[in-house]
Parts: sequence; structure tokens; C-alpha cells
Amino acid sequence: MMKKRAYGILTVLYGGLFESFIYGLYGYQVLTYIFIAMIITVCSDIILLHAFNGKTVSMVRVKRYMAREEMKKGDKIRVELTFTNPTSRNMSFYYFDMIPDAFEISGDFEGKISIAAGKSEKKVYYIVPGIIGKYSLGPVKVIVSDGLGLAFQSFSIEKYSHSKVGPSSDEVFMERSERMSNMVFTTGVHFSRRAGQGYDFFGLRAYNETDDMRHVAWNRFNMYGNDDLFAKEWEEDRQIDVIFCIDYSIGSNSGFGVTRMFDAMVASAMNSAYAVLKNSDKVGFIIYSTVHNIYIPPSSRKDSIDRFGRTVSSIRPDGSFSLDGVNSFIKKVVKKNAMVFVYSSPSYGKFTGKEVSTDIYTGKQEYYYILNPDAFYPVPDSESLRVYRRGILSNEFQDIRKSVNSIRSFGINARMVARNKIFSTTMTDYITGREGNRGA
Amino acid sequence: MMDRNRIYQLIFNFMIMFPPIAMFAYAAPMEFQYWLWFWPFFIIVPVAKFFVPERFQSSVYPLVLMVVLIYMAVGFIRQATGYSYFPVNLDNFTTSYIGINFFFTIGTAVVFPICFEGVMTKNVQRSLAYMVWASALTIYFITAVAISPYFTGASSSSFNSGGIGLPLLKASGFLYAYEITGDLIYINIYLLITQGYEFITLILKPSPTIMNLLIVSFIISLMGFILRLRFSNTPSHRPPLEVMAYPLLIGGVGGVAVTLLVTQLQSTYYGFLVITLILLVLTIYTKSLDRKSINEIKITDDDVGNTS
Repeated sequence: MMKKRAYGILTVLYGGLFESFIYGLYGYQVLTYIFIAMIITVCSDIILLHAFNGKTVSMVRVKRYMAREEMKKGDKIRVELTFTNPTSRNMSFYYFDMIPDAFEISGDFEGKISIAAGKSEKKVYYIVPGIIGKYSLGPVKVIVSDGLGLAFQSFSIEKYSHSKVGPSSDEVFMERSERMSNMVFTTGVHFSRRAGQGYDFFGLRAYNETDDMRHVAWNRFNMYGNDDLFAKEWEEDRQIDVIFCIDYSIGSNSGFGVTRMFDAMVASAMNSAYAVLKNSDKVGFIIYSTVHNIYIPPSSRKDSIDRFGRTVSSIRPDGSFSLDGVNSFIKKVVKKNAMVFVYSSPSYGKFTGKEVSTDIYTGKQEYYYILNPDAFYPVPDSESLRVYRRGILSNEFQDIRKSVNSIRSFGINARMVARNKIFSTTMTDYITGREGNRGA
Repeated sequence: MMDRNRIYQLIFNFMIMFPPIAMFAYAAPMEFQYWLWFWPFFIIVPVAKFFVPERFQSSVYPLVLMVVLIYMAVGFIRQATGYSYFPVNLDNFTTSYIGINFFFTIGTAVVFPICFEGVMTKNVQRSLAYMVWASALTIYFITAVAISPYFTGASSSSFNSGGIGLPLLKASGFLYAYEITGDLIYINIYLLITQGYEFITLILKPSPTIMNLLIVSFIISLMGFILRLRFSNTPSHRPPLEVMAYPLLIGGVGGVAVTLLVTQLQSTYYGFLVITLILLVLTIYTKSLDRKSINEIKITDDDVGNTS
């Protein structure tokens, strides 16, 4: 491709040639010669690029080795690019491996390379993923330039290496947290107790004929002196289902650099899920948008969380999201009563007024969180832009507050939640809900 | 502290601008005799432009142009109305009529700002354009010098290489030569466009001294152009030197071949047609290779796994 500079130079040279004509070809022959020579040099430079250098470089073979496909955020993965020159001519070009901005890159992912005929050259670089999801490395762009820098030819290797990035262990701190505060925080929160099958002692009642003799409280025999028997009652172990529903629409892709809304939602959901699991409740997940309709049924073991982690590492936010859409989906897939936490983005999660109320009503104990967008907009350096940013956010907050009030009128516990408060708000609502025996 | 690349840029720009600079330096002593009082402004303005705050820099030349136009307007009004009717006494500033001296001063002294801008510019094609523009003006002057002996006599011009004098125009002969050169060039352009050939310029043939100056300075300019293109690329994008050698060789040989061919066709008046056709075909072919689409390399391989 010719650069603008080449067109500019050719135009000027033709102007110069015309000038040499005006001053007389035969009087100032040197002028004519100089300009003709310059025009032929420029043209032949571009023609030679396409005829020889470009064709030679188009024969280059490239191999990409990636240490592993599945990785966690923060892992340092080694990638090797091997260029082979199968031709009998030396080649020199500029290469660039196109890597998504979800990765921090260090090393030779781009640069100039010269390969002798029949030889190979290896370039090594490292990638550190910063956002969860599925990403593709590639293509490798190869750019060959002409001698005078007036044109270039670019080639692309349209084959990709895929990588699946899951949440890092640092983020999902609840998985391995054994702190006493966490135990106190959640464990054994079953306030609305009921007699039934279980392990914890509930109380005593008068023995009747249907009671199993094993449950007779022999130490209370003849307590009132009339040979009466008492049976021990056990607290019924009431496990509830807790569903975390993530808005995986393109609106959740808000953010900058490695700060993304869906990333924060997933990390908070996983942490909350581990905490809920420690409280012996079941945990399930929904990943919802018009493109993704994924339901991971509740499980009392860690496997549902693992499956959720694997799922989010192999998809990216896409499509749109709506309050009635997600609630219809919840109604469709979650058959039992459950406590549902919906994390939505402000882009699509707001109440529009077009929703049909029967679609919104799920019959579940629903908590609807709209994420505060503040943390996902970069703070500009200039004060005037910061004022502008505050203005935008102020309008956004007003809209979200209106939506929250409208959604609450449907009996859904809605609120706007800041990025770093998602986990604590979820747990607070979970404990409060547990006290009221919601979702049971 | 100036960047090293900027220093290279200035050196190569100076090389590109060398033909007009050399011709200007060669002609300046003679020009100085005929320049009007305001010629120092042509040197002061471009230099002063660099000391003006950056946001005003682009307004400097338009402002100067407006001042010159106002000066011309005042001059023409004075010539039309007579000195006595003009309300403001500007005798100290407008010492002469808006005549050939005035246009000679502007037409030749303007070469300095053009050359200065050509050296300072960061854009290679702009530098080249300034070179072509400044060369047009300086060659105009040099051509006038070449034919001036016909008007001034053999002994009056230090630039003369031996011509026949016309004593009738001896008093201010050089300026007449300058004016007539302009007329001849306009006739030349007219003939070139309407007839496809020219013959007037045969009498504009320069002296061997000027020809040597032209050849040497244009060779330096060509070297500057090549080096400027070479070094304008970042080192990571700069191809090996051998890649550059072939186009230069082809350009040199092709230039000689085309020029010789055209010289041979001199008698048939088809010289310009041949040059035009050759260069047109070359340019169209070059443009036809210019594709915006990104090519795909067919032979690819991809692997995932532990390489250790």
C-alpha cells in the first residue's frame, strides 16, 4: 500500500518535471534528467516491493506455541513465535502479534526481524491475563516495507490461539478463607427453625405411639412423677437454593483497561457463592443475555462454582439484557423457591417501563443489584473533564434511582451497588433473608 | 536540546534545498544591487516566526502578505491619483513606483523564506515542493542573468560568459532582461500547452558555470532526498540497505535512458509526448499495485502445548 507521502512526492516530482519543461528541456537537461530519475526511482521502489520483497515475505512460515490454553488471571504464560524462511533469499520485515488488551504483554511480541535463507528465528514473549473470558491470540501481522519507506505490504496469518482465562485465586478469596470472622458471618444462620429431621436439638414434647424409641429422652422420664415419656425433637435442616444471576450483556463489558464490570460481578458472585456454600445452602448460577442463556443448577458442593468458573472463562459478554427477559428466564429454569441475586449493568439493567409486569414477577425471593458505574469510568487528568464526568454520572445515578424505585414496586429488593460493595451487600441481604427464611 | 533525528532532518533538508540555496547565494550579490529597501524583511520574517508563540505562527505569513498587498494598493493609488492628493505623506516608505523593481525584489527575495521553510519543515514532500518552487524562481533569475548580456553589453555584468551587448538598453538592462525572460517563459508555457513543443528557450541556454552549479547542486539534492526518505523511517521499520539499492540503480539508468531517448527525438517534436507516455504508464502500473486489502499468508501453523 502506498503511503500518502508517496503520492505527495510523485505529485511534487511531476511538478518539478513540468518546471524543467518550462525552462526548456534542451537548455536545462539536467533538471529533466534529475526529475525523471527521481520519478523512476520512486516508482521502481514501489514496483520492486510488490514484485520481489513482498512475494518473498509472503512465503514466511510462522508457528505459535503457547504454554497452556487454560489460565487464571495473573498467570504469566510464555508464548513463542517461530518464523521460518523457506525461500532462497534473505528476508527482513516487521512483525506484530495481535493480542487483546485483556493481556499485559512483555517481550518480543513485535519488532523487526531479519531471517537468512532457509533459517528460522524464534521470538519469545509473555502474556499476563487481566480479565476473565475467552480470548484469541492472533493474527500475526507481517509488514514489509520498501527501501525508501514510501509503501508497505502487510500480511496476516489468520489463525488464532485460544485462551480461556478464569478468575484468579486472589480474587476468589472466600474459597480458601478459614477465618473465624467468616464462620461467624454465615455459619448456622437458620433462624426460623422447624422440628424435623436434623442434627441439632430442637426441644422436647410428649411421647406418642408413632415416635421412634431412639428419640425418647430417658433422662426426662418421670419428670412430673406420673411415668410420662418425652421425645426429643430435632431441628429440621432447611437447605435453601441461592442463585446468582449475572448480566452478561455487552453492557457489562463497561470499564477500562483490566477493570471490567462483568469481571467484578463474577468475582463477587463466586466469593458470595463460597460463603453461602459454607452455610450449607445450595448455590446455582445463571449467565444471562440475549446471546447467553446458561443455567447452572444449584448444588451443595463446589462443583457448581467450578462449572461457573469454567463457563465464564470460555465466553465473553455479548448481546443485550432486560429485567423482564431475565426474570422470565429465571421463572422458566428455577422451579423451586430460591433466593436469587441478579447483578445487572446500568446499560441494560434499568427499568424502562415497557416491561410486562407478569414477566417481572418470578415468585422467588429476588435481589436485584444495578452496579454503580462510577468505578468503571476512568478519571481524567483534566479538571474540566472531571466536572464533565461528574455531570454524566449524576444523570446516570438519577436514572438508576428511578429504576430502583420502580423495580421495588414489583416486590423485588432492588438497589444500586458500588463495585467494591457487591460481596458485602450480597452477604448482608443473604443473612437478612435467611433470618426471614426467604427462599426456603 | 535538539533531538538527533531532528538534526539529521535539518541536514538532509538542507541537502534537498541545496540547488535553490546555491543559486540564491550565487545570484544574491547582483540581486542586492536592484533590491528595494524592504528586502531585509524577507530574512527577518521567517526567522522571527520561530520566536512567535506557536498558536500565532500560522498567521505570520498571511499577515505579511496582507501588509504587502496593502503596500501595493497604496502604491497603485498613489500612482493613479498623484502624490499631492494622497492624504498621508508616505514618501519615506514608498520610495519608488510599483514597478519592475518592486516585483523583482519580491520575486527574488522571497526565495529566502521558501528555502528557510524548506529546511525547517518536518515533511519530506513539503521540503521537495519548496525545492521545486524555489528552484523555479532562482532558475528564472539565472536565466535572466544568462540573457542579460544581450541587453547590457559584455562588460557590465560579472555573470556574463561572453555575449553580444545591446547598447540601447544598457542603462537598466538587467531588469529589462529579467522582465523579458518572464515573457519568454510565459510564451514557452503557451507553446508547450498549445503546440506541444517549445523553441524560445533555446536562447535561454545557461553558461557552463551555471550548468556545473546546477548539476552538482541537484546531485546533492538527490542524495539528500534519498537519505531523508531512508532516515524518516523508524529503525524498526527500516529495511536493509540492499533493498534500497535496486530502485536507485533502476532510477539512475532509467533516467539516463529516457533522457537520451528524448534528446534523440528532439528533432521530431515528440520528446514531451514520449516522456509523458513513459511516465504515465509507469505511474498507472505503480498505482495498480497499490491494494488496500491485507493479504493472507497461506502457510500457517499453530500449536498449543508445553514447549520445554
